[in-house]
Amino acid sequence: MNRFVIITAAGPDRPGIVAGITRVLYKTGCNIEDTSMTLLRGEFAMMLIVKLPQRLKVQDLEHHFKAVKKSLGLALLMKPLSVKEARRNKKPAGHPFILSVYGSDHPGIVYRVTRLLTSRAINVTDMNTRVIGPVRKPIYVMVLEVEIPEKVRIEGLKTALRTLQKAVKVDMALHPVESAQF
Amino acid sequence: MAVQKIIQYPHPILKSRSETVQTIDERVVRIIKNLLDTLTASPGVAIAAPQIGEADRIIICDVSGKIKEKNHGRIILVNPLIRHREGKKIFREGCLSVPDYTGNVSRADKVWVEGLDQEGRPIRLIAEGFEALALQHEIDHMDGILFLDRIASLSTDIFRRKTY
Repeated sequence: MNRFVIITAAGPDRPGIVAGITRVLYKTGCNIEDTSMTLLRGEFAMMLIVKLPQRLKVQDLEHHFKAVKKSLGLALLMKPLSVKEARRNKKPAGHPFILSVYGSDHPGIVYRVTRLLTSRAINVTDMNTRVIGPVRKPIYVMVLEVEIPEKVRIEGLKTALRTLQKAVKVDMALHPVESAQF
Repeated sequence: MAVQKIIQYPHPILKSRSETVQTIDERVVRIIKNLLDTLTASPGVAIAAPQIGEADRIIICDVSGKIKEKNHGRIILVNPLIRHREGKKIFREGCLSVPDYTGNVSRADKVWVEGLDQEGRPIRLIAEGFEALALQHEIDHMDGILFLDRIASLSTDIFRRKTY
């Protein structure tokens, strides 16, 4: 029996979306766990891991969302998760690095960069991209947080990225996430 | 004298103001020793007395194992105080007392710190960069302030559009 669900939702931005969604969760006895929400252009996009109360089925929860979905114009998707799938504190698969990629916008930047990462078993854990600059000469900016496995040699990876940089005509920088536990 | 258990939030001592040390007596010496032992056994670079359950204004900081830049090595400070701050730096911090979470915190890049050493003699030092951040983090613990109280931005909001 799945006791968790991941909800993804998006809708035109306005005050009250988070309150509208979490009101339903509160009323139905759900417990909100990890979430990430952000504004992309005019759309507010949300991802929430929610713990379901005993006896509440995912289908029933979907039914409870009907009214708020309509009033806020939301697209909503629910995926049940097992306890194992929803478990916390997954051990990181490597060292955290930030990869910034930027250049004149053209199709294929994201794919060609992430294809290189996946070929080395490097996992993307967080990612943001934006089109910036003038409409006629748009610039693409992408920042990825990745986990680089122990066995990957950073110098070798940097060489591969430099080669790709020339082929895709973008600029790139890779550096370890600077953080400290005090 | 031994490695102490690191107190974790929501223990109320972490949100309380610690007491000024009046005299460096046996009890204070023991707390300093316990802080040193606990810090050595931990993955952190600095520690404050409330983190081992003692509400006294005592911190220890030692960034020498973590960075190559100029630093003061092991600093033991009783009744630490920041006299002056300069610059600004945003850095991703974590805390031994708040497990599994890091956040982007805004702090001064350079601090003028004073206090007493373990013999009660006055100390003054100027710390920069990483060491300055560590000292500010620990001195915050003296007043029940956690890095969670100073989050400057979400890690994923690098591109948040600014309105000028």
